[in-house]
Amino acid sequence: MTTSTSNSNLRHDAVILAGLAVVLTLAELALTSQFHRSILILSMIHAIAAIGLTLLLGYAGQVSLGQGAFMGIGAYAAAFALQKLALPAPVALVAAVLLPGLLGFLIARPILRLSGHNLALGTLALGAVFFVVAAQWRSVTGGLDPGIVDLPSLAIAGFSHERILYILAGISLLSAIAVAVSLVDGRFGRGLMVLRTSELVAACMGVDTVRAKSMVFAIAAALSGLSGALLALYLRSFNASAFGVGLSIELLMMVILGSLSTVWGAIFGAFAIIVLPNLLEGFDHAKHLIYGLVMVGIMMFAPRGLGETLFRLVTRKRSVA
Amino acid sequence: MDTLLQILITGLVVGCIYGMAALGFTIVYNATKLINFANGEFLMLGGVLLACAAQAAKLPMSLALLLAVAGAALTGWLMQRCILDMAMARSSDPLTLVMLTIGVALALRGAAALAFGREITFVPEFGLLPLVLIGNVYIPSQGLWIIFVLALTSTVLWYMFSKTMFGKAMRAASQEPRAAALCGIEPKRAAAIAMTLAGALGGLAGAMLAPISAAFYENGIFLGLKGFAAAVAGGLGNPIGAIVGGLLIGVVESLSAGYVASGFKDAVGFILLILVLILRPQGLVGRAIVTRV
Amino acid sequence: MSSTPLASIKGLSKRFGGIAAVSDVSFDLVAGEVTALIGPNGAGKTTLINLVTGVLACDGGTISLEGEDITARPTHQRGTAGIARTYQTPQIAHGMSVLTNVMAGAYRFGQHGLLSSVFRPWVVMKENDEMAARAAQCLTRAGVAEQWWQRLATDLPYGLQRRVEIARSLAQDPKLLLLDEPAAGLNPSETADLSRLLSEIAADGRAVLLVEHDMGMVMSISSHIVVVNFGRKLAEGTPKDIASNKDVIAAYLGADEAVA
Ligand SMILES: Nc1ncnc2c1ncn2[C@@H]1O[C@H](COP(=O)(O)OP(=O)(O)O)[C@@H](O)[C@H]1O
Ligand SMILES: [Mg+2]
Repeated sequence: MTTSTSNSNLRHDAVILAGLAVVLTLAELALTSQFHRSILILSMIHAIAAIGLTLLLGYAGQVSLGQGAFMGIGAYAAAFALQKLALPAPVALVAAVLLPGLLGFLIARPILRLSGHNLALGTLALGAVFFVVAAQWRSVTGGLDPGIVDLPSLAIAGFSHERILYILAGISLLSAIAVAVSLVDGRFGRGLMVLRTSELVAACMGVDTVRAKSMVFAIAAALSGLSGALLALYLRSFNASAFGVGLSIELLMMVILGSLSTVWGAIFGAFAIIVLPNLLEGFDHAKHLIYGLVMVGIMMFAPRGLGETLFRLVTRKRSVA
Repeated sequence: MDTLLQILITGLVVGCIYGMAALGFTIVYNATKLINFANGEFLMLGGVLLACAAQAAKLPMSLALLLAVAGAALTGWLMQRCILDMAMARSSDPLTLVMLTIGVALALRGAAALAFGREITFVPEFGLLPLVLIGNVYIPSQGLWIIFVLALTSTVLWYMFSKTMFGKAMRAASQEPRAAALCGIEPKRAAAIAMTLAGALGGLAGAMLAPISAAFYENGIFLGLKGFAAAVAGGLGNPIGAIVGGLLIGVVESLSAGYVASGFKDAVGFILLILVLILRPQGLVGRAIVTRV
Repeated sequence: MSSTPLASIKGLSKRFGGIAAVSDVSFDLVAGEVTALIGPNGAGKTTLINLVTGVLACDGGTISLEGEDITARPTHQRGTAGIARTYQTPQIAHGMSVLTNVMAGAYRFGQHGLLSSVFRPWVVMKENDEMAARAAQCLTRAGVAEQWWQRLATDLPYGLQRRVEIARSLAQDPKLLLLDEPAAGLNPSETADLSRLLSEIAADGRAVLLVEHDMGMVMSISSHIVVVNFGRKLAEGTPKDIASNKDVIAAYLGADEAVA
């Protein structure tokens, strides 16, 4: 037995998590620009969904091109709870986690009978179906025009709406990371990683592969839902086009820009995808072209994730999970 | 009765387009076992190129059509030669290749938006052929063009693939690379030819569709998905199935637009795709495939 | 000398389209003994392992473990019940260290699932340490030196990957261990090590089913040999019986001619 290396990554993860919490708090206190704060809020919100996709794609090896739909379901669930049911925001957030999580769990069994490119096709189609329904089901979603408008401001007791959202998104992100890193640290995570290489091997070891995959799918959906609900609360107005196929692809971009082997990559990826369009003048025009080329490049030269590959180049470490 | 017939005809016309998209997808799949998520972008390119050549550059329609098809075919060839050949040599992981073609699709969409703008462009009908009226049911002139073009291209392709040495070698390329190489068709060459053909077919289909539903740089996603739906419904890899699947999806969509709600028509094809993938992955007509453990 | 069998296979059959890959095969597996399953390529040996582990559903027959009929149980329940296996081509998980790969094999001994992971991470950390200790024992026993443990498992040379796979199956602490051609691709000294290891594993009180072409190994370590050809059981008996069985010799000579 080596005593020098720990058998859990959790201690290590906890240190980084604490560091991140400190940085986020300091940033909130130091930030004066509304613009910079909004970039941080959006990055944190998207990172939550990207973490879910990392678990699904990176650990369990199941691709989903429909995560944007679960973000949308979370967003509409929150809006419905706030506007139609007049529930308080915390309850709306809980509903926005539970509903997509449950839907994800129910859809998982049939959809995860697919694998590889069929799963990609199936989830892409699922996302497209959601978009069509969201654009057409006007009584709930308001369609494409006007969509959902005028969600209540969350400002209370001298805290501005943005401040509250910053805090909510920060706490949500830190909890999502904590859940994700502890999830993959134990036997459940090891089972998933074996399953990624071979479901047969995992099953012969005693892993209930169908259940494990459904759980991860549901968790990824729940995290997407949380992310979508926060986005809805923050923006206060949105329509179906915010949750189309494009969003699902951006989430995928976040994961592969970061890493397929660690949850931390999602934060890097989300930050990059949110910051670039806001920082570079005229980026929006060439956005798709650049995303496309970057994705092609990553898949050719760093299929386990750009951030991870760069990190390994710098530290010259081989990844061992 | 007349309404039903009218709906069926509208569905068949659009179904021809889906069938052509599915055919290109199938040819590539048969040559390299690649699921090309950029296939829909060929249709988008066909439409956008046609709009640009005919509207902005004021070229005659026939020349514009030729340019659109050639442009999409060239795109297919370049994509295979410059990107996929290298990627396929590096990795055979299906997921990596899938994401690679998604990247290519994104890049094409972005390039089209940059080059031709983000407006929805309308293109005039090709004309020449008449509008046919049978009782109260009519077939639009562009619809006749589309049916005619599908019939022609599928006959030519059928002849090429099943009657010529070249076609047999192409079909052998993915199963028996050595035998195919003896006929002068190495796997790489077969892949390039297949992708060029898919580009041409997609470009043609997209250009034919443009007068009916306008050209737009974001059209590729939905058109591509419907092409997949058609190919999968017909049994992946089966060219005749692809066309039948295309017609089927066109008709089902049109029926649901006519009798249920027009806004939901796009969802119908996608739901069909999901159901077929899960319940009958061998296609609606095919026989069960045994996978080895 | 016969004790009650740990597992019994009765009238097992499997068809693939027109091919009868396994037909009406019966035999017993006894705890503490190595039973060898031999036969020419394509005889149905791997298929039989797939049937016993539940990877394939059988068309007929029953499989029982410790007197209980497990024919209808899904694969993962058989894994949890104590059936472990190795593969004809090693199946090592990508992107995981050697140690984590073997820790994954101890899955069935974990108490803590998803909820504990999230809400009581400290118990999971403790469990990880226990599983790592178990994995370390198994790796040592399978002859994988400690210098390899933190390496990516897929970076190891072929012979070591085979040992890692055996260590992983040992981490499952199996009652019944099914080995699919474990000596394939090994050199004579590695094969000798493997023979010794397998005898010890059986001596633990486990039932071992050995599918193997290396007749020297089969004859030296197995108590019982089952011969199959074209999916049917051709003969069964002690190594001595089998060595002198005319049908077996004919089948093997026939097979050799077919290969040549
Ligand atoms: N999944 C499968 N589908 C179709 N045929 C199979 C499958 N698995 C095995 N076979 C066939 O069953 C027979 C037995 O194969 P196998 O069990 O692998 O033999 P062995 O392991 O003894 O060499 C062979 O004819 C093989 O081709
Ligand atoms: Mg075998």
